Parts: sequence; C-alpha cells; structure tokens
Amino acid sequence: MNDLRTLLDTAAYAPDATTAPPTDDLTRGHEALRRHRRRRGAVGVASLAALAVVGVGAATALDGRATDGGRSTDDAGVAAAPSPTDDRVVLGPLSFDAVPDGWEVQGNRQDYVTMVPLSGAPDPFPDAFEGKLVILYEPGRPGPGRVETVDGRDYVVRGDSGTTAVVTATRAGEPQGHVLVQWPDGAFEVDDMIALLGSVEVGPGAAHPVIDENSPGEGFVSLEDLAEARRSTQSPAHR
Amino acid sequence: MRRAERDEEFADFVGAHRSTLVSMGRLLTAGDQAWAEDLVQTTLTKLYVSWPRVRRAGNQLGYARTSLTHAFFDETRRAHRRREIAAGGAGDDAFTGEGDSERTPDVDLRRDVLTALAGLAPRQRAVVVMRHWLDLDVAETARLLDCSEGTVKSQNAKALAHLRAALGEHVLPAHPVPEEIR
Repeated sequence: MNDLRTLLDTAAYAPDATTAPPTDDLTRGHEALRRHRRRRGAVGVASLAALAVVGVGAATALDGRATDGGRSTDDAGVAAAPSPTDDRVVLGPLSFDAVPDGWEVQGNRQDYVTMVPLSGAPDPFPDAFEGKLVILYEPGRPGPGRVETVDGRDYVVRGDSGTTAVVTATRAGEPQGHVLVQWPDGAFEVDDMIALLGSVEVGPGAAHPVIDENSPGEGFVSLEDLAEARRSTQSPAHR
Repeated sequence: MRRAERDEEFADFVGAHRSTLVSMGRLLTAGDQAWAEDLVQTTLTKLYVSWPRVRRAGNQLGYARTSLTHAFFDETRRAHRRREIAAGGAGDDAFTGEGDSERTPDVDLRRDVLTALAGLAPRQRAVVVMRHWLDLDVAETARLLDCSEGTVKSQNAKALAHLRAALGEHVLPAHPVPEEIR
C-alpha cells in the first residue's frame, strides 16, 4: 500500500531522462529578452479611449506573494511592474509594453504620455507631470546622472525634488534625442522603469508636436488652476 | 539590475530547481518527457524576462510553478496536443530506455500511475499535483488555478476516485488519505 505522495514521486521520477543544460535556458532567456525589448508595435494615432489594450489576463495566480504572476509586492506603496505578456500600448508616436498594474493613462500628446494611479490622480490635467508616471521624448542629449548599462544600452538615472527619472538616447531610426520615464520617488523600482523605458519606441511624429500658436492649447494649465485643482481633488483627510 | 547579476541569479535558480520543475511537468503531462521539457523551457524563458520583478516578489519558485501550470493549460487547449494525449495515454516517453529485461516493480508502478494520471482531465491532474505532490492547501491551489476552493475540492474528490479505481485499493487506500481531510 502506498500513499499518494509516494506514488506521485515514483511517477515523477525519470532515471534516464535527459534535460537541456542550464546554459541553453540562459541563451533562450537572452533571446526572449532581446525580442521583448525590441518588439515593435504598430505605431498609429490612438485616442485615450483606445488605451484599454492592456491587461490581457495571461498571467497568473501565484501562491503567496507572487499570487498574480509576480506583479504583487509586499509593499503596497510600490506598484507592480508591467507584465511582458500584456499587449503593447500605442499612443500616438509613442508605444511601450504596458501600463503598470494599478495605474492608468491620463493623457498623451505626440511627445509624452502621463499615467496616474487608479486610486486617484494628483490633478485632472494630463499635461501636469508632478506625482505622475511620465514617458517623454525630448530632443537633445540624455544629460548627467548615474549610468546603468542594460543589454548594451546606457540609461541615465537621476532624481530631483521627489521625482526620479531614467533617460536614454533614442535608437537608430527614431527621432534623434532622448526619451525618459519619470515617476514619483518610491512608486516604482528603477529596474522596472528601465525595463519600461527599454520597451518605449518613438515614432517620427514625436519630433514634431502639433502646437496651436493662437491659444495656450488644450493642455495648457496655469499654476493657479493647478493649485485649485489639487486642493479640490485632495481627500478631506488631507485638507 | 545588471545583466551579469541577473544571469548569475537565474543560473543558480535553474541549477537548483530545474529538475523539480521537469518532474512537475512530467506529472502534469502524465509522463510525456518531451512535453514536460517544452513546458519547462517556456517557463524558464518567461522567468528570465521577468526576473527583476519576480525576484523582488521573492517567490521565484512560486512564479515558475504557476507559469508552468499555465503553460500546460495553454497547451492542452490546443487540439493537436489533445489528440496526442487521447491517442497515447500516458506519454510514450515515460518508459523509454527501460526495456522489459530491466523492468523493476517501480517501473511497473510508474507506468500504472502515469496511465492513471493520463485518464484525468488536465485540471483534475493539476489539482492532484498541487494538492498531493506540491502539498499546497486548498486555498493556494484555488488561487494558483484561478478557480474557487469548492472547485478544487470537487475536482480533487473526483480525481482521487478515478485514481483509486484505476490503481486499485491495494495501491491507493480506499479511505481518506490524509490530504483529503485537511
């Protein structure tokens, strides 16, 4: 008589089974990571309503802390990383792998995308960056900071006034300049934001944002408006 | 995180857990060694891509088990794989290299158990592996399989009934194995 565990152990055992060497796993991982970072989504104009492309539920209920496929973290204040299994997000000339769990796109123009926590945006203005996750294309060089090299690409990490940013030069074939990801301190890990930035692709339209010179533009926000909006969106406990 | 650091940690993980994952794959696939190897390769590739955040979550093995299970379900949804199972019963690779002259009681028992596992629906097989081989409780199994705890219990009961019928009471006791009453 056997217990079930013993029976399953017996069945799981394959004395002469050959398995691939770990170096092959590493090689496959390198190739997958390279594909993942270079994957090109179709770049087109998309409205805000089109951003619901994220969140295909391929991933996973994990046990314990990784119950949702590794997105969960112990620290509720740290958002989970974008999932590589999600569809790409395409917003105008900018595209990237995924909106991080717990965040949503608030707005975008040709040269930037702003994302805010689902729990509440700091303000209703997509063109205000403070307290938000921002992907931004700018002409010029990446500038100073601590350099980290991932897969042969240099990323400059710097922080200032409660904000951290990772910056990298655009790729060959993209508009010349740099692209950055900026987020409020503590909201994400630098590694994850480098992965997000590594997935960003910049289309030609980013270099030529449409500017209406006859008006401040729909994205224009005066400092007075911004302050008033922030006061009105704060919870009573914060007032 | 730097690539060299990622590679080193990943290689350590693979060295420590690959064989266990292949064993899990073998049970899920009812002894199909090639399929089990495919599932593990897929799992480890996903794991490498996601390494920084999985590492931060601190449960690489849990992620790998879940990913392996999902890869298995993905495959079972594909018609060609279902046909292979239907035609082949327990994976044909399960007994390769062990000819009749070399057979031991374990070999026969292994064949019988794998054949019995092959008679289970994929989800029932997964429940058996989670509950009785990985020793996960009902709640964890339900979470991992993305179903209710009631479903886990009912699938488990049906699976055990099938295994007892297939293997005989002399192999698997007729009344509740300890895992059933937890």
